[in-house]
Amino acid sequence: MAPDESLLAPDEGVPAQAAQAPQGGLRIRRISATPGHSLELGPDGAPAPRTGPEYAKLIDISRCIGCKGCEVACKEWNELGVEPTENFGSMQSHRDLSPDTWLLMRFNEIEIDDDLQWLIKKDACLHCEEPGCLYACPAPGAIVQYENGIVDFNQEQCIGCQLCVSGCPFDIPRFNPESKKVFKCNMCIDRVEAGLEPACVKTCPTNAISWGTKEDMLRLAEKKLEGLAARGFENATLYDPSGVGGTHMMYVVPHGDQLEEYDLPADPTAAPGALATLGSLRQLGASALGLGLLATALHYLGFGPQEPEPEGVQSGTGAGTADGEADGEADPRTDA
Amino acid sequence: MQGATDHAIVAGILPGYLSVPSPAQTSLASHLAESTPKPLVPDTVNYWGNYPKFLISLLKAWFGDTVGPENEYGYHYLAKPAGDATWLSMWDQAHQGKLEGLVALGFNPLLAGPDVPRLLQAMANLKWKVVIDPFMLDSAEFWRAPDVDPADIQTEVLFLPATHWVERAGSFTNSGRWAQWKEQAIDPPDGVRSDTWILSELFWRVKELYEEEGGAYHEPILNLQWNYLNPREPRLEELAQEINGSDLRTGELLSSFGQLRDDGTTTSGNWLYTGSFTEEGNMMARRGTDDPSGMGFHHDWGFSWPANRRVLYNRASADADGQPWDASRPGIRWTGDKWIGDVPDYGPTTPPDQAGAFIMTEEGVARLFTTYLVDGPFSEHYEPVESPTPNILHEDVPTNPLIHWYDGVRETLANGRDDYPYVCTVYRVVEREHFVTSNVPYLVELMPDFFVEVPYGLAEEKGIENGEQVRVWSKRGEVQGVAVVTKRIKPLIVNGETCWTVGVPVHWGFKGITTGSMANNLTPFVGDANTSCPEFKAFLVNMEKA
Ligand code: SF4
Ligand code: SF4
Repeated sequence: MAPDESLLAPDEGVPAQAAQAPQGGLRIRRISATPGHSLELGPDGAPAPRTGPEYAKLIDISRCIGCKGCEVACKEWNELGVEPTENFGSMQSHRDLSPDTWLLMRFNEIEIDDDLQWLIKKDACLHCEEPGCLYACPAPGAIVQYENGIVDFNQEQCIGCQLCVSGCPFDIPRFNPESKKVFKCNMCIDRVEAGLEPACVKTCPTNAISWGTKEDMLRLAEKKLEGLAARGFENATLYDPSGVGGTHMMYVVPHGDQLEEYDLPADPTAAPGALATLGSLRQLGASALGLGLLATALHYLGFGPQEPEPEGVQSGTGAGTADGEADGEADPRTDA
Repeated sequence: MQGATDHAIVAGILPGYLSVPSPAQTSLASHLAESTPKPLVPDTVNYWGNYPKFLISLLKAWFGDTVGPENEYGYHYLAKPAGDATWLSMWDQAHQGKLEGLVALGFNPLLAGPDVPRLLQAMANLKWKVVIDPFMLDSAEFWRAPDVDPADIQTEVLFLPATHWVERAGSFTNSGRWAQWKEQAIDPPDGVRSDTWILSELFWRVKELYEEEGGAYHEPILNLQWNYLNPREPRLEELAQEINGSDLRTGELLSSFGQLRDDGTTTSGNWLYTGSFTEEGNMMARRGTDDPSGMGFHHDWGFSWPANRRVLYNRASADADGQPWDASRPGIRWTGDKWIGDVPDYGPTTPPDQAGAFIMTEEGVARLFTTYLVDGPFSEHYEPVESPTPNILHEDVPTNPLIHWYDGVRETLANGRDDYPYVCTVYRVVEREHFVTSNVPYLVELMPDFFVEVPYGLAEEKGIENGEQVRVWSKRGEVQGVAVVTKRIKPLIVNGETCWTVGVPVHWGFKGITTGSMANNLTPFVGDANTSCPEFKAFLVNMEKA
């Protein structure tokens, strides 16, 4: 499959590491602070069609038993550190997500119509189609969205400004004050790239987590909702919020009328953020003004990159070559 | 657990659920006569009728050529214990000072049994104690338990660091009776030996002592077969083959327990596992995923005893004509000349009308009641030994009259609910596996602290806030931990009175990377009348904010 030039050739300086697909085959959809990679600015201003599969994880909350096996699988696979925890009057392991805890099962006991409900929700990045984190990020390449739907943070390029944290409508990214970098779930991108499901999907003993193309997961969700309705969950719903363009981690929510009890915002939106600002600047003639204006824009935002890698940025060719090589060699998508 | 009981890691049975001989059974013939059931109706398979084949093949596996019809196949080499050797009885013996030493292999008895304060006294009465385990256990360092003064304890403890199951090959049997072979994943640390090496050394050193010094009744030790490539450390495959059994005339491994004989020409270390390691190889290591019936039988995956049958009593899934009761979920089906589906309960060509559906009972049919229960044949309601309420069915006999009472135990029980008004129950949590996970950082992270689940209404009544420390005590001991206040535990109305239940998890002790109260500080030293399983699930406590 021939690489789509509009997606692959960065005309705005993109740090080589960011543009380079980690394993060679991943195609990029958007790059933080890099409007040339934004689909909104694709040919004719229309979003370019995907050329490979779009993946999604589907969490069936009604099947989860709260064993937290997925939390351990996540830590094991991603080699995340052990954190000291304490029981704070709950079966929940940690109080909150952290740079070392990308996935947290949140427990909430409520009574609905005098009936006790133990709500257990998997809290982790939803991999938004319109990622507020990426839109807000001023550091080129620190956040990358791949065509398969995964939104990945690239700590090498992260400048620690934490704008992604305020840009995320789900309160997901977590800042590590020591390394001054931000972390979150990367959907086990290395596994996905190798044709495997994410570690949490693999480990779940009740099949509460499914994995496949977004299309298949939507179909599966429909079936699950029918089943829940037949069991009397008349408010059961699919959580795939349109305010962020839909997500690549979706939930089947048994009590769809109680989203706030699951800590799921009813109407999340992705603020346009830095990407849009840069996009407008670019339309104003950023290509002519070149890097100078971009740098000004970044400076104006107050968060200039700390490691700008001047060669790659200025010429654009170094990054482009690396990118081209990486993508040229690889099978665009090793289909699962 | 399934594999452990299959291989007789419980009192009263030999491998394959054969009976431990009693002192009254003074000959092989008398043991076989009393242990082999007779069919009660015609056309009953009565599979236990094969008992002599299983026992004699077991004796041949253990003692080889040294036994035969002339010496009753070594029947007299078997111990014939007079008393029972159940958990509670064993520790009661120690408590009375009648047990000299104890070997704990892969087990943490101090935390696993009821009434830890009593167990600590019992352990302190031992002269020596050997603990064989991958981790330094609470049981090995019982002299360091809270409230114990090491100076008071004279017991010599020997700790033998042994491999963990990830550090060696072997098999697991799950509750569905699937024996699945696994490979060694990592090397053991330096100085750590396999339990097969440890047990072999124990055997050889005892045997060498007998050879040098002689001794009373040395035959069972001297005649025990130990024919392995490396007799100081048998390979697990060799043991698995020995368990499977072989034909002594041909030297070939057997493929089915149907081939076992009672004339000394076959061996089998456990008749249920015959067929698990055959001339074709290690059946437990198979990983075929085919499932042609779609019923989840997966006959090419591992080995399921007996005979690779995946569902026991599958004959009962079909009607008198051999047709499935539920056609959408067939167990087995009679085609007119054979059974298809799962491995059938009896011969693949035995017509449906020629044998009863329940092959292991003497009557060939299912049982609504049994004569095997000491308090049977019918079930009866008894209250726990500590109960918040009278037994309104029969107030004079509130608890099971056939419970065995050990000396001094009645004194450790609450007398009514005045001082101990709440019911307490002990359980596990899904994040942890007994005590070994106290050493696994990621799992400790998930479930870090000992806690007490307190029902919402009771917490309100006692002014206990979620997350506060609470103290819970029974007449035997106490625990302290974080209160997890929950609406999941509802009050019970028992005989018109509100009865609150609190819950405590069993996974904590004083060793490992997480430490906390031992739940069994609270539990009573009383066992079920039939199984001797301790009464962990209902007893009385009191509770206050700490
Ligand atoms: S959930 Fe938050 S961190 Fe994840 S992609 Fe969406 S905006 Fe970004
Ligand atoms: S592994 Fe599955 S069942 Fe267990 S907590 Fe995670 S989602 Fe729930």
